[in-house]
Amino acid sequence: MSVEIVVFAILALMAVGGGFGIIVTKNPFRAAMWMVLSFIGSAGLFVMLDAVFIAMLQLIVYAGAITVMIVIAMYTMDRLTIASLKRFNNQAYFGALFGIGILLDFIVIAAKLKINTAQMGKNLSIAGSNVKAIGDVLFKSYLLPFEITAIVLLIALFGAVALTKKDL
Amino acid sequence: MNFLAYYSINDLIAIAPQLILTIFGFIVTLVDLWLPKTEKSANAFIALMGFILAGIVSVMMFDSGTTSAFVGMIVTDNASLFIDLVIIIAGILAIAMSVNFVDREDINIGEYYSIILFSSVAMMFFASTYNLIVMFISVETLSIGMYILTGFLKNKSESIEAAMKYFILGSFASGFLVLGIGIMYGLFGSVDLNVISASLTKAAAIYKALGILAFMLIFIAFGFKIAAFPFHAWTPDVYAGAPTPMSAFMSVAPKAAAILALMRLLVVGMHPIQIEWTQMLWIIAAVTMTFGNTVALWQKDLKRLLGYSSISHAGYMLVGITAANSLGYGAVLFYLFGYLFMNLGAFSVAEFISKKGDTNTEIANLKGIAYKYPLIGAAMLIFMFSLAGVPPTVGFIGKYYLFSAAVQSHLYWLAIIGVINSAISAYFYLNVVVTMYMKGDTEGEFSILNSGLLKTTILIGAVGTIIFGIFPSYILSIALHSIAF
Repeated sequence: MSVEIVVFAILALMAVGGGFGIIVTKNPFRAAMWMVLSFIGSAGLFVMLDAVFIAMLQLIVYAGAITVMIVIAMYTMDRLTIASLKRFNNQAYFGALFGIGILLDFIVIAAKLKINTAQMGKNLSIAGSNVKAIGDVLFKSYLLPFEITAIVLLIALFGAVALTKKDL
Repeated sequence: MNFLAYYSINDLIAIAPQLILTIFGFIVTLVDLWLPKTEKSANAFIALMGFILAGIVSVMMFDSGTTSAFVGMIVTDNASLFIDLVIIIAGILAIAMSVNFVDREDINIGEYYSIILFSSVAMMFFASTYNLIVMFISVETLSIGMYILTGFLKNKSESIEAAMKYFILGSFASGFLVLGIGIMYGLFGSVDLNVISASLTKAAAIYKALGILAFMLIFIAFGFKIAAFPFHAWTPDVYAGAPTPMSAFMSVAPKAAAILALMRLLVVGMHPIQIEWTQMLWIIAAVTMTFGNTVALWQKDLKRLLGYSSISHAGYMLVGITAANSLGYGAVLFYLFGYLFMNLGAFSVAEFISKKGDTNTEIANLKGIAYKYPLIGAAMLIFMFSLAGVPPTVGFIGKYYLFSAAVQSHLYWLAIIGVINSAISAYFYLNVVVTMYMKGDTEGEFSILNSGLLKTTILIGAVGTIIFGIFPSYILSIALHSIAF
């Protein structure tokens, strides 16, 4: 058993276990913390695939920003309201069926394609770092769309202020 | 640093009008910070200067050939400069309509003008690219601007409701656009329409079918932006709920940009599947025209009526694209130019009769207005005649060329449906005129928005509608020669 498999097992356990934790725990705040664990696990898997940049994004955007947003949303709600929320509604079975279907799909695909574990991650590793590769694409060929996104963010910021502030 | 190996000053020159508007958008944002509450109209002045400067630059750039900039992301040709000009004139007129309006509604803040400027920038980018990613980002930018401007009347619940509806439906449309672009990229490995077109020509039948699927997903977003039939649901609510100057602006400017982008998508990108898309557009054009005109028959509110009328006019423009010949494409551009004057003018009259809170825009409130304000009445008469397509207005000339393009491509039935629709539309447009002139009680008090700039807008609209109706040849020849594809 190589080190790689041990590391993979730990990370995969974190990702999947975190996911289970989210649906099993009763306290929504704890669920958010389980979600962080799951995100960290999948970030680790991305690192194993040599996709360092995506791993960092996973940590910063999901484990950092999105979790904080969810937790803050919870703080603004009434505690009793949260406690009285039903954790599963009538559609939970459909969700479960859908999830099982996708899981079976992935298993079938993995079995059919006979994924070669020795080749795993080779396609993603680019000469040099992949941060550099992404930077090249963003600032060489896609510079203009990248700059227009600055205007999107600015307009959205203006809108958020102009529409919500009482007296400007 | 090998940055200069990729970009030079020529790239910036190619997007000069957009750059000018962006700079003025920032100037408005900054100057607004130091303006006292009573002097906020200076923002409108700065925004107007920006639009005028950008207009001058785009006129100067006209006929200087097709330039490709930013590694093929942006294409500045005559067609895009023509649409730039339409957007700029719409922006100028919309700001002139806004100055006293925002004062009355107490929403006079600098962000109003900077959002107009920034979303105009996005519209111009939208109209001048063959790249699906640039299209996606600019359509997002202009949509977010429009959502915000729709909801700007914070004290009017219809305005907020309209903004919310527009936002939710618009997000769905964007989702379809991304999905379509994703499938396109998965199939052909590129987001550039020229490359997609080349790959689509050689593609096997199954990939071609998937390409058509992806195209239809992309078309949903475009159809949403131009308010074509199955994706039109937002239009009447948004036009009725939004601040009137912004209803006027968004009935012309984003539509102009989306129409040109749609032509680029169809004519350049989807050229190999032209037979399929003309069949699809035939049905959509016919249904859009008929739906807009028949539902408009029952409308009581002038802004809502103009909303349905804008759906039907989108249908007329789709006729020109369905014809798929250069006369049709040129006629669409010309029609947009004429539509700019008549529609902004009609919305200005709706604003003229409105009360504080942007209410009282029912058609019944026009009763007898032609006697109290003869010039406004005459101008409204011109707008209604032009929208209905009565000579000698620009609306007639535009429709004439659109339908003759359809006849040229042997789409006789589509032309006939279009003409029948014009006849239907005459009923509700002339109903407005009848209300103004023949249901007179001239004694009634009118509460109007008495603004010199608004009256100037109405005057410009009326003069433009008549002048380009009597002497269309100059603009028409420019429009016909602008089409590079």
